Amino acid sequence: MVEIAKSLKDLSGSDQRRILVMDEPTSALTSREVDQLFGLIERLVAQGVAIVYITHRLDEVYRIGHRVTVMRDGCHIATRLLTDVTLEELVRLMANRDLGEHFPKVRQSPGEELLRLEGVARSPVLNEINLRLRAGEVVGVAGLLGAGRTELARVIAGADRADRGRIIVRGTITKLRSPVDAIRCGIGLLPEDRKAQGLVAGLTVARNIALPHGRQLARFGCLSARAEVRFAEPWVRELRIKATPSQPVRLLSGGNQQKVVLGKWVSGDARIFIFDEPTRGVDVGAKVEIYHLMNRLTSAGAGIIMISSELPELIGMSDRILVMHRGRICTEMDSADASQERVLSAALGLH
Amino acid sequence: MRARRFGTLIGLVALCAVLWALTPHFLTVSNLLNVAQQTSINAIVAVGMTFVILSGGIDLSVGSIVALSGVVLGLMLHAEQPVAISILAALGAGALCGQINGLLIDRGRLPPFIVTLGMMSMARGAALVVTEGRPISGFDAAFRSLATARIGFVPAPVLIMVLVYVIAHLVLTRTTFGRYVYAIGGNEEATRLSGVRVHLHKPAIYAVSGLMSAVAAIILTARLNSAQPIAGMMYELDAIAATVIGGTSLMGGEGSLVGTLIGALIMGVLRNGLNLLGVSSFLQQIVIGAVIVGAVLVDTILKRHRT
Repeated sequence: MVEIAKSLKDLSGSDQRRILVMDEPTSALTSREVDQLFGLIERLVAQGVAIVYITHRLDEVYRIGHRVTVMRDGCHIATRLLTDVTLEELVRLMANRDLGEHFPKVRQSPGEELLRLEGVARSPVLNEINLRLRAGEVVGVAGLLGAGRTELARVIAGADRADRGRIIVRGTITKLRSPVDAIRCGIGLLPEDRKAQGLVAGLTVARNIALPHGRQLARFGCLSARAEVRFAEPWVRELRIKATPSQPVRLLSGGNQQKVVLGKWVSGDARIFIFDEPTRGVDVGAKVEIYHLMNRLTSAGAGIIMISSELPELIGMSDRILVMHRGRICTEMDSADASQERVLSAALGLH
Repeated sequence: MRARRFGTLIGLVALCAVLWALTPHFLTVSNLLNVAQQTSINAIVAVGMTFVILSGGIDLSVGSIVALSGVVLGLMLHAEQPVAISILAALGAGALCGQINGLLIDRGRLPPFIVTLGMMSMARGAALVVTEGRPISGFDAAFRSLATARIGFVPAPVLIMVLVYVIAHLVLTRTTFGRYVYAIGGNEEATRLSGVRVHLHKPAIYAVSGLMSAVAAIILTARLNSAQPIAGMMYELDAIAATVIGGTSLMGGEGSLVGTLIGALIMGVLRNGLNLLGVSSFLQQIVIGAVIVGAVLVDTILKRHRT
């Protein structure tokens, strides 16, 4: 609110330029404040101010907009008068990404249950989460920015604690108080931001891959560089990381860095993988390799929870898709029945 | 990294060459041993500082911990305790102060700068309180030999320094703990998410720093034949200087003890050389301050070129 007030003050100072750009102004506001804001917007418009209003809440577009422009992947898709466009049409314009690529998905028949969440919550970001993951399955998680996907990943990986609900790993109720607990349960997290959470940039490829396994590799607390390299080398080859084990990961490309993060977990005995945006900032070749790796993991009896904002990838690589909206799982669908439109309209909360 | 260390070494050699040219007395065995002996205390404190800075922190309390551990040592010795027990008590006091630092930083999520600044004041205050501000002087020759003895022609403090560096270097490069020091400094969140028990290791890193301060305090007390509550003033500055001149990044995650040893020697040689040249101690402070800033400046410029 203060931010909005400030920009209005600037605006009133210069009476020639009368354009106001608002980027998701309501994401931090209560519904009463939203009403106040919309009242204000109406008054400004009546005074002749033009407003560019960016939002992912489509009801707001209809409440205050005159014209709407849809953008996707940095491209202008369409501009329409809001009186001429229905909600369904708008969603279609937003969703219809060219599939363009083929996904090498290999379906497995699901085996034993690896992970179950019952009524898990972490206020205010997660609410009443129920989820099942079975061996051989890829469960996709869709949702808009801020819907709670990464928060869910962090709770499962023990990075944040749940304040309610039960987490059941392979039939046993488990308390995941820290990443140490999660790793002991065979849970590996590929975090959303590999630079901030996945890698120690100054350490070598081998040391990054060996980092979660230091205690197994050490003898009486002693850890030799040779043991780390010997441990990491097969995985560098297996994952086709284009680097030597003794190179610092800082020098690697995005795709190779991502494979190093993957290497940290596939080299251990994890069977539950959480991939948060696994192909973000990764070149096409590495992307396909990551998809193949996912197939290898599931055929070996692992389960994968894949969070992705790339709808084609999510539909192409998942068995089932869970859609999150404002901290809840609002819809579940089989990926065979899923379309980008269906997923997106669920993510927008239109059901 | 290796190139950076090589650069520091060249700096040390060049400095020695210049001093040799300016004052022939510099390159005599007795003077060099003198430099090594005077450097040993700062060099040992700088070992702890290197652990802390590598982990992405800072420890401003090292000088005060030197004073407090020294006072504990002095009181124990004057209470007729055996030398070994007194030394263990001093080491324990130093490690405990460091552990408290580390726990406050880790559990309390407080900035290391603030916590160790507070400890700097508290440990100093504690040393003054228990001694009522007076030095504790006069110890047995057996204890004093820790500073005065020579093995062959090498003074004992120099041997202790070498021993400390060898052990600490092995810890840093050949143990899981050492690896985690680098990992925590490089990216603490990624390290935590990799299942490393950061909440155990981080306090331990500060405990190492406190322990090193206590080792330095033992040598200092033996050399002065006196434990003084005002000892160790500004030691944090010298230790930080040795560490950063030695190429350890203040951002954490990169550096080595080899560099720190060279850094400490550069500081020692510079002080010694300025003394030999008869530069006033006031002017010396300006020179040393300039060298510290200059070393970091060079490092920063080199890094900018690399990335």
